[in-house]
Amino acid sequence: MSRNQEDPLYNRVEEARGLLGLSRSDLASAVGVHYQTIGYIERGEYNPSLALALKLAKALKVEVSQIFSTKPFRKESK
Amino acid sequence: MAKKEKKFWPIEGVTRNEVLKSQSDTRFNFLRTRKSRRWMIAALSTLTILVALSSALPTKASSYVGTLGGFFLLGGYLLIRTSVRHIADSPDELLDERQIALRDRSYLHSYRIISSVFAIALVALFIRIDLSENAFDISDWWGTGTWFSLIMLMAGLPSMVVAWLDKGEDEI
Repeated sequence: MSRNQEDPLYNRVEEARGLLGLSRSDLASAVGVHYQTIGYIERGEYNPSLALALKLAKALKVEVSQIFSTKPFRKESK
Repeated sequence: MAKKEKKFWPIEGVTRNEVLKSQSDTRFNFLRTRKSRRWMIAALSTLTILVALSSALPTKASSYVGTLGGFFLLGGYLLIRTSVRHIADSPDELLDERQIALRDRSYLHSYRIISSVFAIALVALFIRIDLSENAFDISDWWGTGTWFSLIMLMAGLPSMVVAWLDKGEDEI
């Protein structure tokens, strides 16, 4: 359930969460949402508010622009 | 700070603890799959129509269908509320922003559905007034079951809509 289905918002929340070894529930508790909401965000089915995006970035120790973008993220080579 | 056992909606009777408990509850996850939710919606819709029209049945069948159907309707209402973790009955302070958006959307849809149902019921009542002397008398089927199912529809529809709009938790 996106705020604006016509403007997709790409994200790397799952990737950033994985790097920190956090579960969805851990991240959800850190930002004060239900764990299901993290699932929706990761799948791009819900675009968070700016406040929640900032909280997520803080919890994941990255800048907002590193996890959310209006353009698809390029695959990083390992 | 909210009181520990504050009751938010007097009719639905949801308390702060009830909501907080249901947000992390895993006991009834089998009710939270898309398939279960769709089944519950179908069953509740069928029961609502059945109970609403139970007065039209012969007396004995009417009381069986009305009473049993009413109990099942009540049980189904409690189950679907559990299935959606009381989202439809909870205040903003106990939900996150996605749940609030989902709840608000469900009330919009519910309002539209209820408006349509009441418009049809109102037309039916007018027919009852106009045709009370005729064979086609709506009082043949408008009875206690009809009122009960309308009340249950008002109480349960927001949860049914949340169950329809929200993905099953098995898919997240």
